[in-house]
Amino acid sequence: MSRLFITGDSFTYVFPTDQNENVWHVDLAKKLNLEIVNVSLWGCSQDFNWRVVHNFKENTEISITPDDQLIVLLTSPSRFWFFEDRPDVTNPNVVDIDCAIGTERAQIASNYFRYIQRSQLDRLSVKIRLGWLASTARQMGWKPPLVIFGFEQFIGEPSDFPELKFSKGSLAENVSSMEQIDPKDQYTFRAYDARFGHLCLSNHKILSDKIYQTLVNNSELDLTTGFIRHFLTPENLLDPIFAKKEFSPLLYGRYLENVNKPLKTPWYEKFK
Amino acid sequence: MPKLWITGDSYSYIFPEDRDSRIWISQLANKLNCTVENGSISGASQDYCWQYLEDNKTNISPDDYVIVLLTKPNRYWLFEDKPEASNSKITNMAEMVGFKRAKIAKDFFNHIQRPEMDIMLVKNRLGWLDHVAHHRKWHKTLVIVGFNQEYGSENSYPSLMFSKGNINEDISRQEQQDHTEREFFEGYDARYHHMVYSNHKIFANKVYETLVNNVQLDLTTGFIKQILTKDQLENGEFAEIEFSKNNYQVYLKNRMIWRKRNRV
Repeated sequence: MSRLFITGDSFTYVFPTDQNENVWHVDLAKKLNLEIVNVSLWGCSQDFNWRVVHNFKENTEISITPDDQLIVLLTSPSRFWFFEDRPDVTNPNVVDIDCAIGTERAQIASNYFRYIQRSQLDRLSVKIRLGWLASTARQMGWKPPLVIFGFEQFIGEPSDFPELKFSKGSLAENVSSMEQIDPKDQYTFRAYDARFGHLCLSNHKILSDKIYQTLVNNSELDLTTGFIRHFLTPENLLDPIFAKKEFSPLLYGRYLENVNKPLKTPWYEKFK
Repeated sequence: MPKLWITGDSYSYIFPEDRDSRIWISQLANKLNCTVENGSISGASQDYCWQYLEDNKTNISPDDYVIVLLTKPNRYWLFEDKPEASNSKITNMAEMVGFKRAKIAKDFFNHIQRPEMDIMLVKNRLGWLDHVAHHRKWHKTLVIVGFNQEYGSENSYPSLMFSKGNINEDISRQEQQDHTEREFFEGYDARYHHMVYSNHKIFANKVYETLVNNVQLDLTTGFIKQILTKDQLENGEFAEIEFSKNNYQVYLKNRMIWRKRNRV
């Protein structure tokens, strides 16, 4: 049986105890009759995802063949994999990371964001990663890997990478945040997003259908239209029937536990 | 007239306005009848070199030649305004970038930089270069390995060709009578591109054969070895034949400071 290889961040990660057949990649694998191999990690950087794809290429036991399909969820380029043992610690906006990795390492990571990280280097690194992926896909005879933008970012001209397919638009800006009444509100869910992969299940279905069309009929994966928008009202967030239909039970439970607690400061802010 | 594009570190950096005809780049350009576009700096990281290639990829034509001097993978372009401050071994980092940034660089090298990441990033860069060279129909791009490093199978990059061996271990260090001595030049290398002029000539000829006749660039044989003794460092005649005039003067000035610092 051919396989659907996926790597990404929280847009593709599903907790082992929270599996759901309506999540887009599970549904997609079923439609394509492919076995799913999903190596994603909440909060990871692009370098983590590329390490995964390098392993998919080099590991003879689980290597991608020309019959398989690879989907890469392109996370934010500004995330950085600081410490080998903590590929999930990449992002200045997460809370409590300093408690998990210790003050010294948090200070070092904070200094990286303040003094070293910059868009020039981020842009160069993204292009280099995509160039490697395109070159590898061509030489290995892979089906064109599908690159879905998790977040808007600059990659130059997509036509510079004819071996790859790219989404039009990004999941964060065009789907996830557009489900909210106010797309700019960063605190609709307070600290815990109750959705699978930051999307309501109704939009998972639409996304799965769209990706299916892209992979089978070579149509463009357009994330800018066709999704349900502006339906996450404050009332819906507290409506158990709506929650059951649209949210992850595990994450919704965490959301309810934390919804009335004060918001914590992102760890990075503490070291400014 | 085709161009010879070069990017790298001190193995290919040329001092501003320097017209030294004895260095390998001048000799090679002369043989190829090319003008030179050189985006090298001493101490450059690979990212610096790749930014140069990215910035210039649309200017490079299929008739041109591209040479990448592959520097150490553990150098990082930490601060945009100081691409040469890339190395954990730099002794005057605080002078170069200021005390605060020197501390940040030290923390980066001690806590973040690691071989697992370096190896993957080199493979990514070479994959990108292979991709660009293929689509832009460049001559096979020549990657001259400056320092020994792991970059996977060369078969993964069919639009590139690689040197056999590396400049540091197979030429530069082998010129010393004792190739294991790390501080032969006591802080400042008197040679241009870390090679005596006699080896520049050999190097230019070999690179020419590689670019024109597709012969593998073998750095492990054919170079003059064990030519550098401590006595020759004092020999003005030898210095004139084999060393860069500027570098030799800096070497003579610097070694007193170096000896004082190292209590020799």
